[in-house]
Amino acid sequence: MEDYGIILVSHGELCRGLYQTAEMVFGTLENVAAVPFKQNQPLEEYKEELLDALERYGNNSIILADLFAGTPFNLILNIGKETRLNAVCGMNLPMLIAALDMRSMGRKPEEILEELCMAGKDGVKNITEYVDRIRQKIEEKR
Amino acid sequence: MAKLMMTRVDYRLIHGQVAGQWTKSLDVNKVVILDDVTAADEFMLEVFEVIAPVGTEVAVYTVEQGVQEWKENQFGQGRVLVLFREVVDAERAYRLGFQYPSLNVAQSPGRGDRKQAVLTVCLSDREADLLRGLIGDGVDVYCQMTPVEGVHQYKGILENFKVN
Repeated sequence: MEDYGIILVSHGELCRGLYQTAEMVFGTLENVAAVPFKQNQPLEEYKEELLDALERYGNNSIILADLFAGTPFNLILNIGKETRLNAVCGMNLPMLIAALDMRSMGRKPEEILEELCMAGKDGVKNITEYVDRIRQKIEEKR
Repeated sequence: MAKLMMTRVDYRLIHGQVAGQWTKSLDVNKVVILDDVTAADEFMLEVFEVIAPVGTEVAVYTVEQGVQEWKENQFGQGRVLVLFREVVDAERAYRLGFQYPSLNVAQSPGRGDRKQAVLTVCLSDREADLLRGLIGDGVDVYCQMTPVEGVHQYKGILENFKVN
């Protein structure tokens, strides 16, 4: 069923941490890779690691990157010049869980990129506002 | 009557695994919580309404009220996921007349005289006995954390389980 990979890329260990966190919520992850860009790592070496991951998991993998215009993002653009990739940035846990869900439902990688961006945005909420609203509702009942 | 999609013991009630994974994979549209503590906590009642996935109704009862609801209308309509906080609550509900065919005991942190039985489930000797009783009555008692994880049967797990 999981016929394409999900590749997480980030500055430092975020991608590995996110992988571990997702396992706690989602369960064991299959066909997911974390490729961290390390402090002071030569760009060419990191690019090789990304290309290796793409070779292993397939060019149709979904790539989730941490930051718009960051180094992993820039390298994806660079690789994307020659090879069409499926990539989004601003990765967070809701986005990764959405990707895992959609993949398990058999959705095609190239068709879900916009939905992944939405899932990432939908996961961002103002908790304080929620609590205020609940408090107010309870007050009104009294 | 509602269709029972899963009956689960989960100390955290509605959280990531339940809200995110199970409601989707089981296509649940109603979550019923049978928990005396939550039923008496007006803040948590509102919180559960807020955090329920879109299109999912949440109903909270005390264990006894919940059993009553089951007897009267089987929790109404829809595809229902039932949550208990503790093994003792699930067992009490069964004895009072909510006779579910299967029980997923999935989360019970280690507290007091509990020991790990499987994965994230710690049980006391009394809880283990209650589960053995349910198994003896024909309930399929198992542990499955998330839809993508394997199923562990308590029948085997509890064979040699003992805290003290």
